[in-house]
Amino acid sequence: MPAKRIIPCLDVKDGRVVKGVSFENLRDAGDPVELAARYSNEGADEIAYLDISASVENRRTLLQIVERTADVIGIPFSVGGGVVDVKSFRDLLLAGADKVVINTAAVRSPHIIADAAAQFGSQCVVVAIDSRRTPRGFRVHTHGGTVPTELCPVSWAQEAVRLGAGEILLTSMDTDGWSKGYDIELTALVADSVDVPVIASGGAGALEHFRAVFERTRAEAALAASVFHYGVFTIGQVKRYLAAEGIEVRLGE
Amino acid sequence: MILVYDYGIGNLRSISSALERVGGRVRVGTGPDALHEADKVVFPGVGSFSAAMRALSDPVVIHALLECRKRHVPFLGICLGMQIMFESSEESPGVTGLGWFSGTALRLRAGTVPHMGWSRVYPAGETPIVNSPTYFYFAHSYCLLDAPGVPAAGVCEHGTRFVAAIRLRNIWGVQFHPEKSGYAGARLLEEFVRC
Repeated sequence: MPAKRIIPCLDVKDGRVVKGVSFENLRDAGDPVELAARYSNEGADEIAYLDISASVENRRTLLQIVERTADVIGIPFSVGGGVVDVKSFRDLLLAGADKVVINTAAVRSPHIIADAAAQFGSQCVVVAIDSRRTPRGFRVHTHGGTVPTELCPVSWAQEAVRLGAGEILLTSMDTDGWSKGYDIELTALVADSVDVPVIASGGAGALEHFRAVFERTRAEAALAASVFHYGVFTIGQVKRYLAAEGIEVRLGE
Repeated sequence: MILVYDYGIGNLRSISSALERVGGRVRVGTGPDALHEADKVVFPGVGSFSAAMRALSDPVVIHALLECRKRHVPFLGICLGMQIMFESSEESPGVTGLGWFSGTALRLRAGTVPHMGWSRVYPAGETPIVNSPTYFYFAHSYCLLDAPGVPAAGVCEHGTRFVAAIRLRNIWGVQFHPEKSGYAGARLLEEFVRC
């Protein structure tokens, strides 16, 4: 098994990082590339950008950020948000992204997964799944979590992998934002049912949350945003903690 | 001048920038003329086996590559760019590789495929690619289980042990992505730039 990955996620709007950032020594804390470089130097294993811009014009701004990132960052990075078709994949990959994250459009048109995997390879196709508990069990939600579907996250993950997804980014809307830990039940269910890496997302608030998700599920990576942005702890602290707990992580850069 | 060979697919920005960051002078190009002018050649790790070989199988390109080898131009094949130095790949049945070394890239048989993430590469052979076990970033579904005709310079394990790096004099191949492997990757690229 590869080392467990720690992935900071940056929400990008109109070319700027949103959510408060409490870093010192950054000339411009709102510049995604500068923040990504900072995280990379701290030992991040990968960077995730989520574009939450509303308009098409700002797509060009995003692509410029992707290009600048590819120029300066020596670790992999993925880009999601606003990926609607195979052309979105091509634009982002040609700009230098390593992976493209697709969510709502994949639910609406699953063939995009197959088309993108055939053209660019499974390793750059990440399918994001937002799940929430309902009276009838876990259900996939789309459109940033606002629209419920009848899909079960386990069967949707399996279908996405069958179509060619190389990775599943699994966010629990039940735990997201509460800083009380990852959704172990959901993550274990999905990670046990697919044979591609699963990235757990939603709920990190303390060091032991990272340990729990790696010890109790087969997730290969954990994504977090606010704990890093607000400086609750650094990526280096998370990785040193995990290493001390006997979990394999990449250290020593 | 380092030629990053353009198969006409995928992005070459990351590898070009990574080489430039360690002092390389880079040109992205394709075809026999670009090869004639190259001091070093990089086969990047983007696209599929068949797509890469489509770009390389033109007889004039094959000839130019042989000329490069006669001039002892250093080569670095990354991921897929290493696999095409061999005879074939399960990824593209019926497509012939460059055949510089005997062997076939096979689909990984492991709990999770693709193998994505940071894994330790262990030194192997007489000219190991690293001196001690070192993490590099991998993103692949195919691999060389063994390479009988060329010394393994590094090995890795994901479900099974596979060839992580080869080195035969000035021909280097790595299954991982040095351009995405942080400091360790930069050091390796720097060594190639200076060789």
